[in-house]
Amino acid sequence: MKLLTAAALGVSLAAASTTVLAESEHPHGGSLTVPIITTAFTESFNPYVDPTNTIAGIVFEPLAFINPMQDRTHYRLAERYEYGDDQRSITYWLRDGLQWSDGETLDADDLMYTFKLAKEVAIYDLAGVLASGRVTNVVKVNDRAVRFDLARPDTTIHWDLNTYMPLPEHIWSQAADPATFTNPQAIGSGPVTEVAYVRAQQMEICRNPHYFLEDRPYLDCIKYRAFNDNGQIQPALMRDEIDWGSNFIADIDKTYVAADPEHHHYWYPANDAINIYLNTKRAPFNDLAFRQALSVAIDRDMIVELAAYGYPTVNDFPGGIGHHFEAYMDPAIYDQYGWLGQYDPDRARELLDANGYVDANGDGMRDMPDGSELSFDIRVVNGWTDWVQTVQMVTEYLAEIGIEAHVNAVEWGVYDTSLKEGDYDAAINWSLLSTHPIQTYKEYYHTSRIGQIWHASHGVHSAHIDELIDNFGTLTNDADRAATLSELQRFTAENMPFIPVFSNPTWFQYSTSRVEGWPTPENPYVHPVFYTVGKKTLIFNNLYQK
Amino acid sequence: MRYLFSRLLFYFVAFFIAISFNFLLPRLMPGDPVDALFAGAAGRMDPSQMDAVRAMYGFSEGTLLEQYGRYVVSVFSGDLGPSILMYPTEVTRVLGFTFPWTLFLVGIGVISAIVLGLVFGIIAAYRRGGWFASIVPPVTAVISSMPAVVTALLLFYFFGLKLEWFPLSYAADPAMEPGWHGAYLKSVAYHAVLPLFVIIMVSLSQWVMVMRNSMINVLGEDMVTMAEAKGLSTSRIMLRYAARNAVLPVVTSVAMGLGFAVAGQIFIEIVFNYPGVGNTLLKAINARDYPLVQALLLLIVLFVLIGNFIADLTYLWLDPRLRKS
Repeated sequence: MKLLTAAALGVSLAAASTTVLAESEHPHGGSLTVPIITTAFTESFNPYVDPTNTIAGIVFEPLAFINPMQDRTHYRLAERYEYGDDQRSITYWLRDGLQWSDGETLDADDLMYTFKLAKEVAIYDLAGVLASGRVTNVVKVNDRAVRFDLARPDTTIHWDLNTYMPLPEHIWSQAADPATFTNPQAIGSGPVTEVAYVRAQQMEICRNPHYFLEDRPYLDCIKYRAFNDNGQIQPALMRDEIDWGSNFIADIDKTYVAADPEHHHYWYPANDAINIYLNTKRAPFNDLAFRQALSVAIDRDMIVELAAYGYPTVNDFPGGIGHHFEAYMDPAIYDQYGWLGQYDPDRARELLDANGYVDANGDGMRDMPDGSELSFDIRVVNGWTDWVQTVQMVTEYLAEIGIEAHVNAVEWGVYDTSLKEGDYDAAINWSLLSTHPIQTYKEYYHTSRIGQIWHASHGVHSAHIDELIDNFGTLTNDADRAATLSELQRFTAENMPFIPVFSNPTWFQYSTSRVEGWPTPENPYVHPVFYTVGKKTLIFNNLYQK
Repeated sequence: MRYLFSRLLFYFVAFFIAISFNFLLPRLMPGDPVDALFAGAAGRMDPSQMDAVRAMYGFSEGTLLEQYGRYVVSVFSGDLGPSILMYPTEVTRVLGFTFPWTLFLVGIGVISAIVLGLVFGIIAAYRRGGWFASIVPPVTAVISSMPAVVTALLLFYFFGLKLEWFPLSYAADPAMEPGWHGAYLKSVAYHAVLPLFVIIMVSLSQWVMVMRNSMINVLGEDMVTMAEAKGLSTSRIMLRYAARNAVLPVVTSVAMGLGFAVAGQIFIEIVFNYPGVGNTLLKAINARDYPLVQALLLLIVLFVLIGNFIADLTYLWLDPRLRKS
């Protein structure tokens, strides 16, 4: 009886997770081939030590994950979770009848063990909830329920707790050193756990006999293939050796789609926001009018069209977030500051003239108000071609209004260090894409992030903004949350520490020659990314052999 | 004997200098291994988590000098630690499955190039003025003067991508069970065709030139004229008299060429995604995978030094004057 309800629950949940597939049942069989950029595969099945991102979400599942595309929570190993009345605790309930792939019971003890490890070994504290002190205590309520006591009211802790993947205590407790334990038998809870083979260039893992969704996955196996870079994945995609790509493919319509128009598809929904960060600790970026002039001097439509093959979404929203978070954009910000995102070179010239940036020495280019030379570099990673071209175009637009700027393409290591330390004039970079925009703003502004992350060293910060970010978790109603987000958007538009350019596309290519069931623009059941645990699992569980 | 001893001492010093550079070079490059490792994750990872990972890989420990001390010990004990890219796999294991492929490509490729080159060189020298001598050396020179990566990309594009005659990547069909059975060996051979072809094309010219020039010198000597005067057969003069003497200076180039071929093959392996040392080295450098970079460079250094040492020994064996001194 117990098994029956579990099965029924599994089926209904699976059905709820997709609209198109709800009615039909698909036969089992077939496999999926995914490219992985790595040197070689090795027999390591520890989801917390997973440099190639092949185990988490496949051999192990998280408790739950949030799907911002549909604004809903997909429960995985957890059946539900609930905050305590004072928001000072949260309780997770595991599904009934869960088993590990070796048939052992998966229950609250395993969850307790997982968080015990998280406390003892840093790498298991995936989202740092224990290290940061946000979770003060983990308590077993019963065989299926675990309560997390919180240091203060925090309605955002589930974003982070959802990411932890319960581990089998009976396996991990045998390990000499959990930090290097490889889980050689691949005992897990995910859809595929039976390792067919691991070779340096390819690895294949097949269905979990004890998976909680009785009818899933439809596909029998997942095959990973090793590649060096996007350049090698492109021909493999063209020759239809790969089913699911997550890579930048140059001129995709002509290369990938044209190779087999019936089966080769791509869908590039908006991802993180791409901005040009300005170092406001240096002149002339310490002048707001100058920063505003830069923003209106560039034609975002043209940049997207020419530099990035038209794949990104133009981002003309000056409030700091991209179109992935479109639902959170405050229209009042658009009304008041929307001009900052519109191409208007005359306005840029006016702003510069009015603030003393004129051509003092007669060389045709503008100079600083004090007459000294005005010239700066925009930093970008060498070889990231779409970004290099974007920056190149920006410098050309700036030249049109009389500003001398140069592309400064450097190797990743230099770029990484200089952005974190704030040692740059201007630099193109992404923003954090996460469950909720507040996490993005934290990376932009929170003083604790300075020196830690690429986005925070632009020099615009305030104690009040820190407080807003810190207190977000204590807010319990939607209106207060919206008010905080509006204030952060207004702060961004007013100070403009970075210029929004476009929202990065989500690189997602798929072939329907062997496999169907992909998220598509017509059936966008989840944001189509491979690197996010949970989303990856949901997509894999919906794929089926043609 | 004294000659041998002084050579050995020289090699030991060279080895030490080389491994010290191996240690320093990756550390002089800006950037942090853990950051580079997660660059692909594009900032989606929490920095406190990154610190934890950094500590786990052991990158926060000790001064440069202490690290160097540990490194030297690890080189001589053979315990090179875990790779970062493939954590927690031991670096020595990574060498175990990459080096044989490189050795295979270099071995077959360079040996074929040398044999072909020597044969071409001998013919070109002996029949100078003929059509062979006026066509083959210049043509091989033009092909060899193209950078290996260009040759590789051209072959990759035409014979791999356009004509689909040959596979685009790997050393064998990755779905096949590796082993000493016909189907797998056939697959290995099939996958090796294009990379081997590039290696041969790239290095052929130098052997043709070295052998031809050396032969021409020998052919001018009295003993050849004497042999001709005695009426010996052409092939006998060409092979037993001229070639045998001309091959002496070639030996050094051969031994050194083997060592440098390992290093020079990096781009070829990258283009064809061949799972060898070069391919792995590039990935390791990008990821600032210090242990792996060091191990791979160490291997290349060892290879170059061993090649040189073999050249020394061969010289000693071939040239009686050295033995006397």
